[in-house]
Amino acid sequence: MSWRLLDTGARPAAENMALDEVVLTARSRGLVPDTLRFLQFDPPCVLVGYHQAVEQEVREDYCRGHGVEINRRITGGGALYWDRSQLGWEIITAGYLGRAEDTYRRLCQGAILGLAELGVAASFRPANDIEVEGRKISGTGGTALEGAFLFQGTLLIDFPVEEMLRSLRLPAEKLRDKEVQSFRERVTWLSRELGHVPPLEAVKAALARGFARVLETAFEPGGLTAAEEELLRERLPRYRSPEWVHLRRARDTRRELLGVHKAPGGLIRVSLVADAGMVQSVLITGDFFAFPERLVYDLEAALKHAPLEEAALRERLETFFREEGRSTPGVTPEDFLRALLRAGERAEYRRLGLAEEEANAVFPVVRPLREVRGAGALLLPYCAKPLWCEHRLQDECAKCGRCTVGEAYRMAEERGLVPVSINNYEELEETLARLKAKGVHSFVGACCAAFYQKHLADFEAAGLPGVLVDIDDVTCYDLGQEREAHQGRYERETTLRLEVLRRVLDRAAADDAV
Amino acid sequence: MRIGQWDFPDDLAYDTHHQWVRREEASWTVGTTHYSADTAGDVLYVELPAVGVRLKAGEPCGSIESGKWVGKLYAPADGVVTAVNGALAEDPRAVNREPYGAGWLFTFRAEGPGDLLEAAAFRRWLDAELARDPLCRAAAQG
Repeated sequence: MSWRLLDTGARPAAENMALDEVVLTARSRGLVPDTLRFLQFDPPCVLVGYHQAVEQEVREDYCRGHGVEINRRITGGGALYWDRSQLGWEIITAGYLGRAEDTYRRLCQGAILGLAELGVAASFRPANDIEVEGRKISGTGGTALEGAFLFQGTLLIDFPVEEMLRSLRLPAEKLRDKEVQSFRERVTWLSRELGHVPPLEAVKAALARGFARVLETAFEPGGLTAAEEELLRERLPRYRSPEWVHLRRARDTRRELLGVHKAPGGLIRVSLVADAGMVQSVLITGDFFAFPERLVYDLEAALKHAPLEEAALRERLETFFREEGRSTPGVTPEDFLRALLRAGERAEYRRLGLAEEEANAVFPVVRPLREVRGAGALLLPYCAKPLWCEHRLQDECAKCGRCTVGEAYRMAEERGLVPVSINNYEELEETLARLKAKGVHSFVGACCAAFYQKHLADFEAAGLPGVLVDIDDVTCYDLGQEREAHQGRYERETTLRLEVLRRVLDRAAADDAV
Repeated sequence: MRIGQWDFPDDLAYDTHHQWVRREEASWTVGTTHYSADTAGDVLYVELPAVGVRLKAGEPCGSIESGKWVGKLYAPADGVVTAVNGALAEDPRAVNREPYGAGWLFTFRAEGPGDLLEAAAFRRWLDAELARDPLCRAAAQG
């Protein structure tokens, strides 16, 4: 028996989401044949996965202000941005499809054959993506209802990466050019691969032929049946309701975690989202060399949905690097593990008294945060003192109350820590050596993330456990003025994050664990 | 009892949604089978019915996500939910590790027989089901 080819055109998000349930229900009741559906979205929208919370995945203010609809899929996976430059494909069948991983592979093969016909050499990447030379061009997901299955995939024909980053809460907080670039490198789209935008009808026809081959069937074009139209009218109000869109509340178990590790071959920076101890997504950047170029993207895919635990991560990394031809000079699987575990350590920061948004502003050195106790000194950067301050380049402070440094001095003294002003890296190194020689157990400090990343290996070499609190400001590194800053000539004033500093000091000043 | 590479305790009853049921007086405990937990992959989310919710036999009452797949949980019989496994919010992979133990889903006070299969009958059903698909048959034999 032939399948139905159903093209529902471009529709608002609620209608498309309702149609997923409608066609699946109609199939499970035997009212319609197995179906290949094509769909598009107009106006643009973001769709969260069935179990996700909108407030954790979507920049709601931006979406509301820019006509981007927000809705929820009945299928799993992560949040997606859609506009008319993506094509959705869906397989709705009552046939038995076997193990999830085999099914994904088999159905993705249909899309891959279609892409090949269009001139793009794509392949399947476990668990459920289609990629072109390591860059994702299609993601898939699915669900089942009373004996019928729905598999769906996206195909990027064109891709507005900036719009996606503005609409979704991805681990690219500040939307710097570099982060936009990171996302751009990890995906690809038909028009980029082909050098032109192919006619939509040609894309659909090619995909349909691909699916016909893997499903060993033929397609008969057909519209929605009267029964489906009736079901759509009945179900649509639910998909338009805030109750559906906000069906899930923010999950207390979800964490956005940042980890940095300095390997001999370069710096590894991992930014990951974990939920209930599982890696949901991970972005790996840094200045290490990887061959082939796609290695990092494949590694990110291999780490997806891994338990955020040492043994499980080590096994995935070792399996990944066993494959021939993968090379990262000076960076071992163990180095990637260290960076991932650094990020994982942050999952427990809330138990240590830090709020969610503060957890990524804290960088422990030498020992994990929980072991940084009995701190003897607070090290503060001169750039946080005002330009007019006569003590700006001196190791002292009048505590006049006109900048954040005076308050930090007071907080340190109240807790029995010695405050120290630091003018450059050499002074920092001397200070750490002096504190260590005096038998001080640990220190607290403030510096920007860029300084921390640059000197991570130096902090480790100095060997004094400590915790550094990020400066939330434009820094000399952002402005390319680190040389001037090193010479004491940086002409801006940064601001210390006093609330985070206070919490960190409260913990680190206690010496119960030492 | 073993079917393919999967365990199915003989003292449990099963339904055709790959769920098991342990019947103790009127209090029934529900979970997913070893087969289901193994073939779906690592579980990421489990959404359970609230305590006190009235269940209708055969109707969806929760969901479970693995990979990017959302599966439904179904009520094995009419009844009222009496307890749910709250630990799964923090540790959903207990469903994979111990599908018949720490990975249990919910208990309910049954108010009808439901549509359940005893172990032997379930074996016949699953054998037939696995025979429908060559990929799955290979997995069952492996």
